[in-house]
Amino acid sequence: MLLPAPIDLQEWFNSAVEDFLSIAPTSVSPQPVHVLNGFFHNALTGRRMARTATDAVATRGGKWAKSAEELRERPVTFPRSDQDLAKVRRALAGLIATDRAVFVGKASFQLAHLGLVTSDTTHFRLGALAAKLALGPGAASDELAGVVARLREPQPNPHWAVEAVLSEPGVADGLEVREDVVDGSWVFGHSHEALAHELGGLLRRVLTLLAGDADSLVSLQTLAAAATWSGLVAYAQVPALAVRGEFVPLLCEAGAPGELPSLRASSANALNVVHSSFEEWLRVRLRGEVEARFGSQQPTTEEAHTYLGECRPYTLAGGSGKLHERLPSIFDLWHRDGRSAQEAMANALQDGLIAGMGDKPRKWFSAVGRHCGLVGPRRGYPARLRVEVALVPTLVLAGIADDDGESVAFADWLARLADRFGVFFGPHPVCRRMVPRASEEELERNASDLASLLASLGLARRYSDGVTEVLNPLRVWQN
Amino acid sequence: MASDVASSKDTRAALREMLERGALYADRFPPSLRDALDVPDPLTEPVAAALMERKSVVLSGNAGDGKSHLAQRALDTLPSRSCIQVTSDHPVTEPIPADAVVFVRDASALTNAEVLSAVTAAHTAQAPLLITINEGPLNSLAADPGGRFFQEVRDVLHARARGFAADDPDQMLILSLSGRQLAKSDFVEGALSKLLPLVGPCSTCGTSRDCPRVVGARALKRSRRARERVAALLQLLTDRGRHVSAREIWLFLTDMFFAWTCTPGQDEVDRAAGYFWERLFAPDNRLSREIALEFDPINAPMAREDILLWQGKFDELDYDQDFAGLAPASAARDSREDGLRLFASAKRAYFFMSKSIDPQSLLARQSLAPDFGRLLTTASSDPRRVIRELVGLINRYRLDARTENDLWVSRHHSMAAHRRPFALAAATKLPIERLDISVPFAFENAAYKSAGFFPDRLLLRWTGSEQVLAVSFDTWRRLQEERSLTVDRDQEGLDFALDLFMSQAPATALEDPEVHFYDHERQEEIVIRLKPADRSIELL
Repeated sequence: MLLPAPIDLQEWFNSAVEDFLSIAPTSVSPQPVHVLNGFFHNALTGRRMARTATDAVATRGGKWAKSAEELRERPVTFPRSDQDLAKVRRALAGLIATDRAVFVGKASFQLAHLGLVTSDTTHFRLGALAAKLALGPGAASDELAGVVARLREPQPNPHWAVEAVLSEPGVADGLEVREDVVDGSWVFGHSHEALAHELGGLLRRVLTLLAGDADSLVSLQTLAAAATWSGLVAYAQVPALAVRGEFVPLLCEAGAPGELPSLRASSANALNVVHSSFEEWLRVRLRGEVEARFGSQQPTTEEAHTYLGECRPYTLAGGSGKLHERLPSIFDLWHRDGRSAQEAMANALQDGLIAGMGDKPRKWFSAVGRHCGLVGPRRGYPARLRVEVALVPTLVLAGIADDDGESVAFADWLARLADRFGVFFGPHPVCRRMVPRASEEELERNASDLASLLASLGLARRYSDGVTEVLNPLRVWQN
Repeated sequence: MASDVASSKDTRAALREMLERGALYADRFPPSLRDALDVPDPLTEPVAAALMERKSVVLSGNAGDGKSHLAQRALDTLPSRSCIQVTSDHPVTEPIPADAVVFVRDASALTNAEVLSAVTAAHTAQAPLLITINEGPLNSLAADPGGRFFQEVRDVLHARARGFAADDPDQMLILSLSGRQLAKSDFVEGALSKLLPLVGPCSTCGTSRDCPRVVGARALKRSRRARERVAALLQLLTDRGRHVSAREIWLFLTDMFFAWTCTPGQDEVDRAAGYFWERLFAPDNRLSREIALEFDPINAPMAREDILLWQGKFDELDYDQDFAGLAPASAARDSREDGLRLFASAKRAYFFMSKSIDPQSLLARQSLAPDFGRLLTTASSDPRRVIRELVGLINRYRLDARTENDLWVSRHHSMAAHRRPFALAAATKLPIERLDISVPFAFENAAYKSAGFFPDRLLLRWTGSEQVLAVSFDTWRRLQEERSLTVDRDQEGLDFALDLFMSQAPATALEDPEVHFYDHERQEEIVIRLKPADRSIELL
């Protein structure tokens, strides 16, 4: 038979996985500060100019990247003495670049003023995904326009004032909400409509906060965390929904790390399930690709060997490219196992792809999760799903409905997190099916730990007998 | 008369048997036992009075707070009224006699429909209603379409728990016993007066009056000072915001005596573990463990007394009664371990019986709880003083600033969850007059002065804001620490709570703000002036 064009796994991964998910799980791991910048960059039109700010605070090798003289060439009046200027630069860096994401080439500032949005790509698609979710299914164009208008006005925090001084004049005035966000990613497909709608809804609620009376700084921090969290949930749940038709249970530890051993083990294995589900999804997508190319024809073993040899491997630092040479023998194993030639080819290609990626997606998820507070511990073993304080406002908003009043019963809020995103904390039939299974007592305690955490942050009220109401920031955070 | 004596003997025997088993569930007591163990409660009279005025009375609280006991005692004091107790087996039936009280003992044992039907029947007959209920069933009933009565109750309870004054609705009396700290009332003294006469020798000792139970109870009976110090140790827990229920106090006190049984042939070193002053710190009771963690007299250094105690020169110390223990130093010659055990026993006994030591200062030397207790107490009478103190702590913790009259609105803009923000900055400070403090259960404390209502925390808020900074004992203690930059989840939680609190400050944007920047890594303060219109930055 005439063999179809071989698959370029690199290209295929970029389009079928990264473009579709709008996530780059083999990239370096972005931080919320990158994702926030990426969100605004993708959601807003207009110029990107932040050279003065970059020159003022970017570092290289532990020193200022630009000399005092070079900085004084910028159109901002700085102190004349070098010593004073160094002090001022330390303060400026402390206000807008403590997340260590500002370099001369690429800079993501801790945005308090939109004049400092840059075209930095270090968010590696997560910012773009959040923009699509918010402006697509989230239908938050008006809210985002409100944010742009609000952040043009002086805010009562020192960060806005600093960024206003360092912004190039007029840049923030030229920003408009982008209208052309629709693409071929899962966000706009029918099969993941519900999840896209929920994640979009979360981002819309955060933007509502930011556009309204709530403090802009804390709202921006929440937006950064929510946008990052949305990407992680998409990575975990989009493949799971496609392959299994249901969420992977994301059981999160809420209390002191490791205090609940069976819960810790169950939560740690939930991460394994996330990754195995992702890998299974790759297999299914590759099978579809092979089917599309071969149609109804089943190649012979010899043809399959030839075809696999012609496919371009996926190689990544840290991955193993050597496996690609063994694809024919891997094909034979699958084929002998009773799989059709097409299926065996897809499985062999998936094995080659996984080996080529090494452990990168797992490391990516853990690192991004640690950056936004979804994965812990920060050091130590095993990595597991958690909720750290920085993620709490995001979680609260994730379980809020648009028409909620000042508070929501804790049990209802937990049920929404489970139904909308597959996120669990306490006893639930789904948690009883997890392997290993967390004990009911520990699940109860974990839910109670979460309630205590919310209450300690002022985001919930606890009454006697552990009765808890989660407060709705949309109603409570009004200045 | 003879039958009274017999009855009294039976009651004492039944009580002893019950105490040996530790089965302290007041709602299951027969009336005779309830009477025998009843500690007069200042809330009984208002509850009874409300029922006499045909009001609806709702008693809420945690399990073990004494809701059922209070309800029953109030009913017992009512002159000749019939009581219709509603249960699943005996739902309320009409007509309700005019002089009857409809009593729902523990609403969680009934369905919502049964409770609502009892409420409706009582209201229709204009009969007084008495309900004991936990928060869970209360919320469920309040969410029921027919649960307007319970919505009203819940709103009042929640408002008071948040420190707001909420009067009882018309024709109702609402009490939440979860806001009570009985260790702050006369309850402990009252419970001891009921308990001590019942203490007898353990089963091993038979009738011997030398049983450590009996020796300890005798010492405690004779020493008011010692009884007050037992209560002071329980107050130590309530000072740090720990809610201690009535049942926990009863179990704690009974465990001091009835959970001890001597082993046959034991020596004086073994016996020492059975005296109440040792039992009070024993790890087999939860409250005892918590007390021992917070304060144990053996950890309080007393130079002269420690030497005398070690040498066994007890007569040179001012025990308020004879203390006849072995000299620890002598025992230590054979066994260092035994010597230390005897020393611990003598020193703990000394804490309870010494005439000269000041227990409050001794407690305060080892624990911050008494200071926090004072803060909680002061918050109702002098809120400004407490706000000032908290503001001083927050300013120091966040910016190393020393002012107490204004709160610096200190912010950071780090978004990374895995790294502590090292840089905090403030462009505004607001006077403390812009802050309010709420004291949970202050309403009940004012209305029922000697009933032991006491807050477990304070709620600091900007005037008009619903976002509070919950100042618990742990929060207050952490505010006094140095802010670190290492992984410390407790401090991270405090930092984030403060971030959210600061975000609610009624600050306005300034034209040319002066920014106070504090770098916790370098411990460096930098002040700059920003002029956005001129695009200039000055160092001040």
